[in-house]
Amino acid sequence: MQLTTQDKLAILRANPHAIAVYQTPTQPNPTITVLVTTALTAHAARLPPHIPANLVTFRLSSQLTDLRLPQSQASTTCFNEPIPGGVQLQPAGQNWVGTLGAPCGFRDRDGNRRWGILSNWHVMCRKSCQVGDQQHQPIDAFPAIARLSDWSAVDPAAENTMDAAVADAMIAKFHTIDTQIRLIGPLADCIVEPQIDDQVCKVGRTTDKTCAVCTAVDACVRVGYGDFTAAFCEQAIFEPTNGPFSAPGDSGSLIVNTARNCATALLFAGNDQLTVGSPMPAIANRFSLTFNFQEKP
Amino acid sequence: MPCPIPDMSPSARKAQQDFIGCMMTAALACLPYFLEAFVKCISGGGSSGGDTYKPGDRNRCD
Repeated sequence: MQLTTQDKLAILRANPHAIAVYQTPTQPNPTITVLVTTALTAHAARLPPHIPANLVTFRLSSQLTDLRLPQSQASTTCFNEPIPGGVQLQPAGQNWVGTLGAPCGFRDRDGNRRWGILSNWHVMCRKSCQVGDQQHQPIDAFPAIARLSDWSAVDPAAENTMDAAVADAMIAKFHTIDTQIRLIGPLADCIVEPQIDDQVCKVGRTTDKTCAVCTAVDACVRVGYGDFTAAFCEQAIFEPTNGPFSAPGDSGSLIVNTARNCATALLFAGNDQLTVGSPMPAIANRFSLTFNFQEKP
Repeated sequence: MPCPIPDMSPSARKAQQDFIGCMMTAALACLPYFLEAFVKCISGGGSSGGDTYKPGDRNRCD
């Protein structure tokens, strides 16, 4: 049987200890996996009546949270222009830091092509923010490197599909950004949907370059943002191949498909075992993203 | 001396008129885009100049 998005959301909503629901294509029937924070059996779980309990596997995990880092733990490692992706980012006047995921091209709200940076909404915006809000590297004691241009805000009451924002890196007639990601280099001109078993890497301000494998796609997850929680669907889950894949501060990192060097997801949440990323094709579509700096406006 | 007028069949004349009409329509349709591009060219790449990637090399860390 094939779970719908509504089935997955129903399981999340009916079980407060469930943090993720996804299906993997095992034969003869796909396995339904529910990640829970306390031990739960199929008997005790509140499953929709049409879902056979024998197809459901429960796996213990811990709460998924956004991966901001408190300002008190921020680094002061500063990068001169042109600034690559994978470095620390702080919005002006806020008490957290995250990661500048990648330099990119995007279209602003007026439809104009801009060159700037991609990161999370909860890194560059989160609280009441406005177009033009300054973004700094490494912290806001240093000059601004970009101005907030557009975002897809997370709604605690809705089913979300991404936590993403873009900022214009044109400062005093020049772009502050490089065309590449630190420790990875320039990306290929492609954006691919994450697939199970894909090998991926990312560069974040906390854990630098780490790699993982995609273990689930089309997952619904519940993520804690400190003062609220939010549900996301159509998400990809990544588990490390060696050591942790992400840690607080890595929010906003671009997840790159290793085999093709293509952008594949935007990291925004995780716990000590797994990392959640929003598939890049949907984000690219939302902001008309490109990683090809040769592209004409 | 009068300009020679080619002896055209009615269908050829109609085709010629259609072609000229089509070209006139296309030219008029393109005019606003041409003017916008021309204005951008002479003003240095648009109102903000932000649509062409121009990497900086400023030392911003000291």
